Amino acid sequence: MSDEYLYLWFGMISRLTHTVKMKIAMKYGGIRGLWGVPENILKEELTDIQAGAILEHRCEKDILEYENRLKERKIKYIYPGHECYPDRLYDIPDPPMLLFAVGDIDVLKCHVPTVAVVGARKASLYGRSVADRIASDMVRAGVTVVSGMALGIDGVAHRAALREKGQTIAVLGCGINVPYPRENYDIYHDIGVSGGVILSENGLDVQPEAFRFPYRNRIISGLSDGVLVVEARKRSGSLITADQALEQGRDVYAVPGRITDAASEGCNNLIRMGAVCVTSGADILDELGIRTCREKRFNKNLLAPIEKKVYSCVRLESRHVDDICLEAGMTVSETTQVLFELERKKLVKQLVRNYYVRV
Amino acid sequence: MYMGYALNMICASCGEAAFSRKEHMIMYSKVLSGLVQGVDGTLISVESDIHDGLPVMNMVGYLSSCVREAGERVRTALRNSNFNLPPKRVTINLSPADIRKEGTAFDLPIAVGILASMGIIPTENINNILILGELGLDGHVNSVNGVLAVVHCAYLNGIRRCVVPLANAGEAAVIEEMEVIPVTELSETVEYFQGIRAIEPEYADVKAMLEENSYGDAGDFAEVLGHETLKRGVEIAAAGMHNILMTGPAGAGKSMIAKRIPTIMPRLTLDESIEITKIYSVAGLLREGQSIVGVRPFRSPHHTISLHAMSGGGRIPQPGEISLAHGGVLFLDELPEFGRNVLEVMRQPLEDGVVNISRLNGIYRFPAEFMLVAARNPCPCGQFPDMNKCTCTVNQIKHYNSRISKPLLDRIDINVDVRKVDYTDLFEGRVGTGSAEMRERVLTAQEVQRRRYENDRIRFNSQLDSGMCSRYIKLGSTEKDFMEYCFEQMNLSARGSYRVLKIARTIADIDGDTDVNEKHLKEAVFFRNADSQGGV
Repeated sequence: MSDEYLYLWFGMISRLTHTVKMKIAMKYGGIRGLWGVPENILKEELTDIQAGAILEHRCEKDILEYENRLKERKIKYIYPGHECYPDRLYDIPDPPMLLFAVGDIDVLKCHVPTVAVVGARKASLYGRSVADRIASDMVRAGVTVVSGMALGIDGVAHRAALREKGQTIAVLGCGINVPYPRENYDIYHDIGVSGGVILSENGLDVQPEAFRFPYRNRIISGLSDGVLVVEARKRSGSLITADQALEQGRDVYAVPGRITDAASEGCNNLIRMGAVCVTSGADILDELGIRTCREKRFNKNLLAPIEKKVYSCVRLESRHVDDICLEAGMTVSETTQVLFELERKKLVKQLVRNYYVRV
Repeated sequence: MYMGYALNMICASCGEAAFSRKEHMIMYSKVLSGLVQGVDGTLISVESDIHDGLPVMNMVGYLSSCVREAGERVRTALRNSNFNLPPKRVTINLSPADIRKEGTAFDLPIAVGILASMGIIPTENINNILILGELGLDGHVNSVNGVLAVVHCAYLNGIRRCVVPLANAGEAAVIEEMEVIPVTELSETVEYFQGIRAIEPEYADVKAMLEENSYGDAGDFAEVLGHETLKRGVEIAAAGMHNILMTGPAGAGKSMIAKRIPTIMPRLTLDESIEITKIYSVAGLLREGQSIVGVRPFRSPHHTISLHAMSGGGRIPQPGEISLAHGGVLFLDELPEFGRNVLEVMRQPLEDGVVNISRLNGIYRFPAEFMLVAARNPCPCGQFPDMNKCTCTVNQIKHYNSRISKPLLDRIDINVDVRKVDYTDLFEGRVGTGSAEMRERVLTAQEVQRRRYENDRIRFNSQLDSGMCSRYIKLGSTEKDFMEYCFEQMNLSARGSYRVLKIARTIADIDGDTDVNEKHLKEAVFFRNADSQGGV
């Protein structure tokens, strides 16, 4: 039995959590040891559920069949010792024994700076626009963006990276072939075809269950040099990722929010506890030691006077078109025409219908 | 009793008492009446025949039970008005016999027909006169529904005189060239037909009524502060009869705005008014003494409304809310709370402007050209996109939004998100755009459309089909490039881009421009904006 198949077999056991699996494997002298333990001993010493899960696929035929199913779906798998297994994962406390992958796994070999962007699923317009700005700034500087393909901040970060044609890694908490959540199917599809990679510790058809996500988070932080938390409430899954990043010795960056914003409470707490306060992509690049020639900011004096007037009424925080009209002192009809032009020049953007924000 | 006989039953042709000489007995007569199918009238002739045989009264002609009962009512009413039916065989036929006869309006024509067959009313006096009315047992003539529809139909068929219950006379008098004779009693009617009593025809000054019917107490747009974008959207919607959806937090002023929409719409023309009055007349919704609907309807059904109340229905189909809103505004507040099937039923009428209801007896067609004004909250708690206040989960918001189907949303041209007004809007004493100013622009645009579509079967830009779009919306090369950009960059669907063109046409009409140019298209894209829905 080759190492490759042993790791694959171990990865196929999806009914037990990573911790439990590792504990059992250690008890019997590693994965190879576990493979050889007679059935009756396992049944005696372990609970029914544990023994059942381990014995379920413990035969070569099942493994070969599983491998075929993976091949049909163009799913690869990597394990410690594989040439593509990311170096960063070797030095975290509990590295995954197997990662299923879709897309270009060579991305994992590259030694480019990598930053995880995480945050609330129910993000505010502010969180969305900030995540989008910072992620695209980083991608333009050649940083790989890692995230969890969840709704909200995660999705914004992935989309920004895809839009800027950069590298991005999505780590799923469900099975590798389960594009969850449905709303982000476009990301799942686009990463697969455009030079990114999707990873998951879980094999085929594993449904998203709450307990799997904290394990997923350790891989997100493990893959990165630093973790950026964009928006997090007081008790948020993103804070688990930040905790694990600290345990793994990664940097934690946080975007500050207004002190009255419940949606930013977690971030503000992180900053108080010593996280790096980040207000632009350049802040992170500085931390990572990447020198960037500051991009030439666009000069607003190049705009037509009327466009300049409207642009100056649009803020970083989203504003309703009524307020913009009012401040600019123009009719709705004129304002919407100018806003359209600004949108076309990619200077402003509508995050939600009728609410505009600077890009 | 004999006295009554002697008084009334004078043979019309010889002046002697009827039945005194057999040869003077007129056996057959024909009276014109009508019924309503959907909102349109159909003429029915009521034939009666009296001849020897067992004394019975037979009624034929595909009658419903309420028409069959007319026999009893007529017999009693005749008796109580001092006319005795002869002891002979009376046959009544309502033709054409393949239309099912419903309603109570046949009582009076049947009574008149029998009296004519008996020779009490000269047959030449009832030619080409439409007669409608229900009889009480005492001979009183009661009001009926749908009079206008039948009278209008008779008018189109060349009839110029009608006899209707007094309570319905105002309604019938709307048809200006029709001589409307109001009656209250059977005996009075008979005397009128015998030529011994003159009845003053009812007259209605329709023009004055239309003028005098003001916009009521709906309020003025000047009172709505801080919603200039929405007001512009409403103005465009009203000018081209586009549908509009307002999304915004509770208490932002959505209903307040919807209620004011009729105040910026043009006054009804006589034709429109008749069309609407016909619907209200069939539904029995005309107030007592009201002869015409002079104000554009504003219907705002509650969200618990049933499918049939919305589309129209019932065993004998009655117009539903979408037809009652014909020519006016159908306001659906809390759109996602409406039953899904209730909303879906509006899809076809939104496209075609009519609703067809099939029943055993045929297909009923109700007009339903209305302007749909809908309002909804952005999420169940109503605070989205303000994340500090919104307590809904992502899934709740998605679920809430998914209650309105995509095909329905696709039929809504104008989408505006409303924000909560802030203190400065309310109390800093600024005055917003007022109804008069908006109405002026709407009138200009509608006048332009009226002239443009004179030879077409449509009235408003929203009704343009794709063929007409290319005929009436000529784009220059800049505009074509612009549309191409929108199509590719903004994921505009084919239907979506037609919608944008139609809105742009309306904006150009408001601005008084003959051609649609880029600035109109830009604004149109802003208001269409159906796809950037919610940021979840």
